[in-house]
Amino acid sequence: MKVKKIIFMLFTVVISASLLFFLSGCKGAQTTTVTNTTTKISTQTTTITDISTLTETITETVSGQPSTRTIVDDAGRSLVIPTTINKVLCCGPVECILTYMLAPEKLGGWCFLPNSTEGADYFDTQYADLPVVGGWYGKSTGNYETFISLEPDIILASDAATVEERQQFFGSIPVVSINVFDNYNTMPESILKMGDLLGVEEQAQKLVDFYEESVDYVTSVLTNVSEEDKVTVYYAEGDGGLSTDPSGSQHTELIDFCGGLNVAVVDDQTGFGMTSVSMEQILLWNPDIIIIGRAADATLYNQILSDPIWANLQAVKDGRVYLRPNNPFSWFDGPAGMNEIVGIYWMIQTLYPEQCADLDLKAKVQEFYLDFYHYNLTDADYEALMANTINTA
Amino acid sequence: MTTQIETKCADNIKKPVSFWKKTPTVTLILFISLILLFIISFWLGRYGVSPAQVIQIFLSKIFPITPTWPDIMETVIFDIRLPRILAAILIGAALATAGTSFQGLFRNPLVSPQILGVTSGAGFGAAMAIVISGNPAIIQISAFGVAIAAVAISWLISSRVRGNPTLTLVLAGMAIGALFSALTSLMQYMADPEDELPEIVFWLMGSLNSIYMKDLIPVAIIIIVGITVLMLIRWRINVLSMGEEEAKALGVNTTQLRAIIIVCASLITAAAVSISGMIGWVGLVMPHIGRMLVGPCNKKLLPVSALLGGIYMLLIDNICRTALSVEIPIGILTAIVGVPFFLYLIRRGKQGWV
Repeated sequence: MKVKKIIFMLFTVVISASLLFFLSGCKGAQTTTVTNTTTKISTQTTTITDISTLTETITETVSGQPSTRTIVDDAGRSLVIPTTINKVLCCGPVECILTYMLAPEKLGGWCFLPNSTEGADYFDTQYADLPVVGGWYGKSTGNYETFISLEPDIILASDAATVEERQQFFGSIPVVSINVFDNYNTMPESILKMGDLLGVEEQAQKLVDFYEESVDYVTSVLTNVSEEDKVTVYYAEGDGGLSTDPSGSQHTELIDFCGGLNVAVVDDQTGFGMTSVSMEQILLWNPDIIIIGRAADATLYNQILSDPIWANLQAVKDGRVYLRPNNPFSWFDGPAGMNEIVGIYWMIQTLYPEQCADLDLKAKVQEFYLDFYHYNLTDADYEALMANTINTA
Repeated sequence: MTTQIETKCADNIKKPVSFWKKTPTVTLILFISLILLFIISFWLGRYGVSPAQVIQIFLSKIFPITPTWPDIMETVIFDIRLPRILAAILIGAALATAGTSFQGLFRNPLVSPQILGVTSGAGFGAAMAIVISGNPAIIQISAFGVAIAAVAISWLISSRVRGNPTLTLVLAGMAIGALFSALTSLMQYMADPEDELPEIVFWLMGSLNSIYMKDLIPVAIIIIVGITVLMLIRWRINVLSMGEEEAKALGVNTTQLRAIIIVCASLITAAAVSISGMIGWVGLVMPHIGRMLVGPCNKKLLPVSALLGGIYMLLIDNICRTALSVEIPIGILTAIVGVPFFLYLIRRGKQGWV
């Protein structure tokens, strides 16, 4: 018994000792990282030494080194970056898509393979042929050495929590933390910030204009929709369509934004996503409209339209089941980012077709694709893209 | 199997000459292979650094050589490659040593380091930290802490149950392992599918992609201390594998010995998986390959297994980081590469197999 007690005590001591090691080790790691960055900064620039004098805005350095400037990124780190940026790599799809929209010639590689269906990739060859380098956005497929060997001027990371970790492995290449997408109201701010960073202010302003025009349109349509006329929407995700994201979630903001009433109202939704729901619950909700999104495709669309149980729903009876347009980037969720801007017109027309009779969706989409996806969307492309996504009846 | 181990060990003791001649050679060859592979690994990578430059960069740390290479090359060598290479060797050696010790302790060749729920615990700890915080340091601490907690719970339960201590320990370990696997699934269910869920899935697949030198040091200390203790008592593991009664009859304090083995093997496994994520197969199979080379006597088997584990992990991790322009999770390759090789070994092995 005595031996047992001694061993048990030893065990606890060893555990607490090793935990202490961990804690001290990690604390040590953090402080050293900070000093590392500061030394890197001081070796690169001779102009600004006192970081505390830096403001939150991007400051040009007044010095004999006009090729670099010092900025404060969204994680509050001050960084020296080249004034002219020629090549950018991204840690995640949200920043990657915005970079492509604003400055495609500066994008050095894709984080992920953009969506495509049967050869139609909605890209000009020069962009379709960019290497797929992976990234760190949940899936950690990025290879640090691949990134470095492509010689980017800066690396963008939207996740402020892990930016310091990335910096450690990218050495002298600045990793800029940029908060790309929070919600619809902060979109213009993020776009302009990115435009300034990459030196493409004009294109950024153009995107903001497109966005604001669509927002104005939505507002004008919704003034003609009374509360009782608002439609209810179920967002079907996953294999069987029995997963959803509730109202208020970042993933379904487009529905809320366009005046749709998301049937899934969950009290506590912190950290939850793709919540499972039962068929019975959907029957009870009986939505006017079903929109099919993440991790689902035409198979689910056909299943919902042919399944006898789903047939009980008002949306199916009225034929108001829609797939989200998905190429080259989704118009709605997956990822929730600037790629949703083109989805604003589509969503408002899908929800309130009568009130949007004056809207030429095709013209808007073609304008957007030409200006921001750098692709001339032909009428045939448009038909293929919009299959099953709008009410043709 | 038990009887086989016993008879083979007995054989070794009876005619030590033939084995003693062979074993140092095997160990030496493996050790030299590891050193060579360690050096070669610095030359491999997606970012081109020539062997001459690698040598120059290393020498520049000792001698005042004016750098003729860009700064970023030093980052590649010291911040990206060095921690990964060291981590691969340490983790491989840790898992293989823990696997060998557990196989000896439980007198069962099907036992792997996760027998007491240590990796299931680590998986849950990591998943929980990913959902709650997402900070890499917290994920590591949480994985380690819960892994150790899982083993401690298994052990406490088994000590409260009457009966064969080995059997109750295995049963408790299985139960706790299943519990923590379920809790990991619960975390996956609760995670955001856009970022947290894939992060958990990728953690469970294992990767040495983002290992800092600073994070590696505490892990390295635990692993080195644990392996050293196991190496020092490795002969006594043989005595345990003869059976409880026999070992007691030989004057060995089995309770104490078992405790030391469990503490050390669990600590090193927990430390390894806390930075690498879930890596299966190595801890189960390296002991078998070691047994094919030097026989079942732990005195020789344990060092050989550790070396084999280090070599194997380093080899696989080199493939992971160089084969494609993107990373391949290491847990996938350890099995995909290892299983055919292992089956081939079984087929051509002259030894009888269980």
